[in-house]
Amino acid sequence: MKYIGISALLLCAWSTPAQAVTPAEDIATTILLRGYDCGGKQVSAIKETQDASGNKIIQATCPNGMRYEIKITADGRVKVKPLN
Amino acid sequence: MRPLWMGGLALVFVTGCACKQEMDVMHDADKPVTAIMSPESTAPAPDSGDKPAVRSAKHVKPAELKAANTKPLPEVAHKAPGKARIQGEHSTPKINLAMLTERLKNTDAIGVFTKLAIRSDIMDLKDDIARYRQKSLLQSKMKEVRERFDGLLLKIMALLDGDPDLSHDLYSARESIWESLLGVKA
Repeated sequence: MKYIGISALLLCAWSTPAQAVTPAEDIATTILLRGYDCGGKQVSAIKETQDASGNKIIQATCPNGMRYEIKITADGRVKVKPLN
Repeated sequence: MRPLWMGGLALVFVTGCACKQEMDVMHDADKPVTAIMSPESTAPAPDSGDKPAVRSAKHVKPAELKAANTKPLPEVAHKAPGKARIQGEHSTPKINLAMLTERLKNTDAIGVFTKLAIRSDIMDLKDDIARYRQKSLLQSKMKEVRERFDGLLLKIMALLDGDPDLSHDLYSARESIWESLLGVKA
């Protein structure tokens, strides 16, 4: 019985999927990927809008106080711009 | 002549339906991303002995990402793909690029926006390769293009800390992906 329990535990651990990334961490990673310093693992004060062309605009604040704008075009291109 | 969709890592995000999928998921970016079980069994690891050291993505620092931009992959010679094929130095078993594509699209180790950013980089690289080829500059720019490819691959592998099997398979398939990327015509 003890071995069944241990086996079940190992099976669960083995089959555990990769831990999902939160949007705050995701945006911070995107900023890092573009070569900007974010000062931490996740952003805050996330604000989503759309520009006149229908492109998605996301503004977020990094732990180091820098605010960035992430623009996602209709064809999926991502551009990051510091706001301060 | 390889079809366009065989463009290496570009397979991951270039197709319209993949982009739409990501865009649809993006609209739910505020909601927690549901864990998706990766049903595919891991591809055989032909060179399990040279598994690269992959740092935790949660601890990826800007300096490391910057280093990934400039540092070439270890054990990768900057040779023309033809030479690599003839010498067989980096020959790998037939890797299912389509399966790698699906796994990359479905992995929870990378968020939606990060996937889109990587996709942008891949598309830029692909466009530059096509442009160089059109202007007959590809051979002279080969070293620069290869360094960009290596840097991009390093970045992706650093982000796949939560999915080490995929990271390893991607590393194993790097030469196949490179050759496939170069096979994309303008």
